[in-house]
Amino acid sequence: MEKKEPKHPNRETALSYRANAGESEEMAEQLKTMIREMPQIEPPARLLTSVMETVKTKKRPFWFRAYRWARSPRTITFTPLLPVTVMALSAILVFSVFFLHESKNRNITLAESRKSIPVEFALDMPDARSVYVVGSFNHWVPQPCLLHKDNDSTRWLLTLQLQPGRYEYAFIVDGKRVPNPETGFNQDDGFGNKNSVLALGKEDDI
Amino acid sequence: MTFRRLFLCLLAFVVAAAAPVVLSAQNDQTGVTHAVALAVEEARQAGVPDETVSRLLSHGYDNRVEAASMANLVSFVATVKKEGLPLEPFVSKIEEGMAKRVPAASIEPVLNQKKPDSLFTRSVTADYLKKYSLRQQVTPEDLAGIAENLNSGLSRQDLVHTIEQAPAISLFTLKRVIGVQASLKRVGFDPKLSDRIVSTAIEHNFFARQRRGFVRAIVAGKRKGVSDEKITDAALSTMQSGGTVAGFCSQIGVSSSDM
Repeated sequence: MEKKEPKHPNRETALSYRANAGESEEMAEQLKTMIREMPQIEPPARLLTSVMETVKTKKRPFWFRAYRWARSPRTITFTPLLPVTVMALSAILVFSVFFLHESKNRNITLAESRKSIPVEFALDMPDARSVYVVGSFNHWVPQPCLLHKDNDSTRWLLTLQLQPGRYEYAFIVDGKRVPNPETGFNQDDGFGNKNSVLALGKEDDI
Repeated sequence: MTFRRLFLCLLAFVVAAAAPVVLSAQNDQTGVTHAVALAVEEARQAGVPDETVSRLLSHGYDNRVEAASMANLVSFVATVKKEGLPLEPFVSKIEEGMAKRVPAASIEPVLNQKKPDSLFTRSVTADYLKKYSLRQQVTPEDLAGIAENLNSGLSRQDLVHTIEQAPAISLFTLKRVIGVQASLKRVGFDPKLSDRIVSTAIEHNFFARQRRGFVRAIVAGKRKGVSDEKITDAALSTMQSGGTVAGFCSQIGVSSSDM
């Protein structure tokens, strides 16, 4: 009784692959031999240059590179401490700028004009907590005409850019209206108080 | 169900009781608002710029001026415009009063005094121009500037007297002369000596040219204790010799830092 070896398709494929692999190795060896036996041919002198010129990419303008960089996704890793620090520094920066702006803002333009005349309002009142100047030039509204005083000074100061003309004004010292004690030009306001008088430009000719 | 019916009855009663009160208040409010609207319309028709009206209304709102008072003030401004007087001194005075929280009832008398002063000033300046056949326009600034002196110490008699003795000079120079007289009166300068300074200034046409700081020098000298007589003597000699303000200052011992 002849014992038939059962046909197994996977096994056939494996044998076939093994045969193919053997053939490939053989061919590879033949190729290597052929390459070794090939004569040495020097490449043309300009080959490298011409290849490099062909593959060389054109330099893009800066804005395009920046745009492309900005559009490219990035992966950034940071600890929670970083955004907290950045926010704290930003807040300090914003407050510093605001504070510096406020403390240096002693020159206010109420009417933009080429004829504007800078007028310095000054009041020697070291114990006052706040001093504003109100008058017909700002429709008697205190904001934003707050006078400032340096720590080492006793004088409150503010410079306003005003149009030529005649104005009446008063200071508001800690909420109380007072005329300028340093000028002799005061007059009744009609309501039982005194206003100081300020003349600018042609009105100041006398 | 009974509770619901009871609630509806109660609600109906509350509405019925409150309706007359609400309607009455609404009518009052509507009436007052209508008065403001009428005053605003009157002002616009008179030619008051919208910006001025808005400024006044905004100021009134900020300072909680009652609507009825606001209507009166806007109406007053319309009247000033109809009379052809400069608006700014009146509007500024209203703003000043409102900002100082002066009741509208106390602002109106000040305005009512200002208006005849402006009309009087316009009349005497027109007579002055007519007297010398001067073809000059009385600008709102000149009129307001001269009239303002009546609110700051100068009497109508003083004004008439100064204008009567003035020769044919420009209205601007006349305004300066009147301004000097008012300033001297404000600082309590001797009236007779003040008259001498003014009449000499007119005689020598001293204020036709720029004399910046002349009055400030007088005030500074007075503050430093220089007598009115000495100031007058120095002023008269300066005017008669055609001198300068700097020379006048050195005569009375006033430096630029004093001014």
